[in-house]
Amino acid sequence: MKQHSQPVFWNDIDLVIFDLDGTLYNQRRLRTCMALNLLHVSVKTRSLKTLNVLRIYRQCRETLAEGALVDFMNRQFEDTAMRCGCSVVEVREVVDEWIEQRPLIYLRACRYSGIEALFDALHRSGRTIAVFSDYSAAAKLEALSLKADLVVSATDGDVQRLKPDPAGLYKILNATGFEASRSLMIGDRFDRDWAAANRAGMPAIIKSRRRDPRCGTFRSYQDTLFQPVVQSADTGGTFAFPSFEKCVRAIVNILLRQELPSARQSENVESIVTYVLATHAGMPDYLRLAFRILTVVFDAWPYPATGKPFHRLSSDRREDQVNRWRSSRLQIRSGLIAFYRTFTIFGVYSEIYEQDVECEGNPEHD
Amino acid sequence: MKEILNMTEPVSRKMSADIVVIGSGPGGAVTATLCAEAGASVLLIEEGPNLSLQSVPHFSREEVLRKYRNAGICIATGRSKIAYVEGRCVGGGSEVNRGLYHRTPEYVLDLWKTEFEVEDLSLDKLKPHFIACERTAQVEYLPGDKPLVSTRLYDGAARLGWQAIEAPRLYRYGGIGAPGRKQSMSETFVPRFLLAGGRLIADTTANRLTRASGKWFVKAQHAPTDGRPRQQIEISADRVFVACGAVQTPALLRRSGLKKNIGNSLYFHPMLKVVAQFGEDVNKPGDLDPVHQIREFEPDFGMGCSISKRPMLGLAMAHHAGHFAEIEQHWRRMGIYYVQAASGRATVRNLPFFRDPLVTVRQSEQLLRTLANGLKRLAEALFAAGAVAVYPSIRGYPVLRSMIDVRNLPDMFGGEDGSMTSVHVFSSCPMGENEAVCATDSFGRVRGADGLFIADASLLCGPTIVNPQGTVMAVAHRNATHAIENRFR
Repeated sequence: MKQHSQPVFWNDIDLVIFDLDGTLYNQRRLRTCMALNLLHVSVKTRSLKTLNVLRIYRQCRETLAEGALVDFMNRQFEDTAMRCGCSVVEVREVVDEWIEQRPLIYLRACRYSGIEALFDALHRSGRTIAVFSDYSAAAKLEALSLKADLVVSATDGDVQRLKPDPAGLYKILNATGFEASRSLMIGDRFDRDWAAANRAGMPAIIKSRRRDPRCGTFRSYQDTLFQPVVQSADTGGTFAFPSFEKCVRAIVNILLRQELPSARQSENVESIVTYVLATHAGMPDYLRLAFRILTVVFDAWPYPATGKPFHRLSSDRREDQVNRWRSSRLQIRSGLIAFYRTFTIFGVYSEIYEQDVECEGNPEHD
Repeated sequence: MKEILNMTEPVSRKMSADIVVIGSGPGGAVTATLCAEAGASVLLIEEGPNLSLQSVPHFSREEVLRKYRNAGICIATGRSKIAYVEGRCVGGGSEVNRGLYHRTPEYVLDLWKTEFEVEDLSLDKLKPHFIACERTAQVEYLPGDKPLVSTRLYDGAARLGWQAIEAPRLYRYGGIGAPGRKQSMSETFVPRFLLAGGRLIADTTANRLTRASGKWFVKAQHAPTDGRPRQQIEISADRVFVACGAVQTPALLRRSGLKKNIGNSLYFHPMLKVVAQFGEDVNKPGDLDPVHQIREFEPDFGMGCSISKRPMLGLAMAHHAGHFAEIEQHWRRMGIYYVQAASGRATVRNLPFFRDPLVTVRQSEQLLRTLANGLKRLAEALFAAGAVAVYPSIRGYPVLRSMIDVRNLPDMFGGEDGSMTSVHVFSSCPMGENEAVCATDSFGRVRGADGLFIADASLLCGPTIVNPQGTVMAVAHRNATHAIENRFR
């Protein structure tokens, strides 16, 4: 099987984000099915109006994506209605029927070979799967018989932006608590999927027949690119070992989620993690060893219940464990969280208000 | 100045000098300077890096990582633990503190004289040493208007009829409106030492002292931060002054087999902090560091104002829900204030297989009551100054909105939550003629170790109540002068 790219280092990936249309199923095959269906309806009704509305609706949507408009939802219907000379309600009805509902019937038959095995392997390896689509995705995913941990659409009220705007990716990162560098975007379009991932600082691979200097590409889900994760799942799944650094990252992510308003949660997490790790590295050696051991114990704590370390848990489960340790009567448990909390808070305030010590501080900083 | 600081000594496996001074903080820098100016060949070694005062922003996380010992995490363990900080760079603690300066109160020196039998110690006799240090270290009062966050404390005290003062700092203000510059050992005594022919080695940790054939040998590790390989070195000298700070000095001496009255009597000035929110702006960008202190309740406790930049406000407010929104909205109306007292006695002990020493502190019930009382008095002063809310930096303590809330505070501070912090550490090897408790004689000579001296805050016989840097420098100046006059005998 020919492979176009450098291998993915799956051990460095905790979160895999899939685009939906064209990535999880064969869009050309679906369009053929839909075109035949549409032709049949057009002949039957002796009208090309539905065909025209759908064509212009797609054009408008592409144009709006380029403009990165917030209110694209209403605009796409209004612009289409104006150009087609019909009402917004009529456009909505056509779109709902032909883009949202009818394709569901054909989706399962158009699903790419190997995608189910990949989803299964990713789940079994303890990784988090998210889907991010410009269109409503939950019903399509169900029609594809695939399950994701999180489904985000550009139409969600707290996203409201089409790719290549990375707003949807930020929502997924905030919700899961994983950092961009440990996530992977899988899509089918360089101008949308790769561009959004690139803006979010996230690695990406694109389903394409051609090589591309921007990122790795693959032809099918049977590519050797995916074999490490699929094969390890076949042999019982990737056992995730407790990891001090991954656990610290995960704790810092949860603490930032708790301490900061959502608008500030996309601060430079990596810089704060680096500061917290540097602080740990500098602490007295007997404390450093004790904290390292305790942190690894914390990471391994959920194994009996979930079979996963803390850093591989879902965001909600991680938050729950942090809260339980934080309010524990055992000082050793509450002290661990207090330590990470103190330095996360100092780190994030220093990150956000860097100018306090560098610019507006004393004239002594000349 | 930068050029002078760069005049560091090339390091070789075997080195020698007449005198080795270990540690370049206020005690070590003053001692090394006087010895070099007296004509001795002096090698000053410093565990931390050689960085200029302006190399990183003051009170930034970069400064904490690069100039503080253990990345700012030093903990005196015990039921009521204390988180304390020490400098670890050329210039030591003087590089990272605010440089607030006091001469030692007379009643403190009198106590040391009677209890520890320190010879020739009085305010009058120390005065010339204070003056000499102040001249080089550039101790000045802030000219013109003072920062509002600072004067608020003074105003509150005045309204209650309490004694409050403005403290001078190691700071070259340069006149009203002129840009000033903080002063420290790397800006003052260390350049003077280098100009006198002294040699400086940074990034060098003294591991052990041994004595053979009438000489002292310092076994050390030189670990440059520029990527060059680590190197074990041995320095021989006729005399050694140990000035590694009140924790590291006893740790080094105990590792070297010297244990009598060493590391048994460490003290802190533990602090509790609050954030006060006023009805109008007090915390302005560009303000100089606060300088006012309340001395009404000394020697039981003192009060003052801390650096109140947003990262510090974040730490101080961390126990209160919604701290981010409060700070984002009101930070210009907020200031950090502290009350500090004298701690219980702590010990310094080395642990097998570990480099860093273990500090264990025992707090008395009396101290915990004193701190609780001090916290109430501090809140009272802040409400008298116009505060609309006071946020104690203590886990579980509520926001105080009035004096009724203040009166409802506990009469004894628990101290288990780690909210006690300290920036003053001293007295681990007290000087004096009382051999039952003192590690050295009245002038810093270690008993039973010919040619070995201590020259830092370890020598102080107990808490100074006020900021101890002035005392450390003056005592080091006094003892070095005495040693030179007596030809180090």
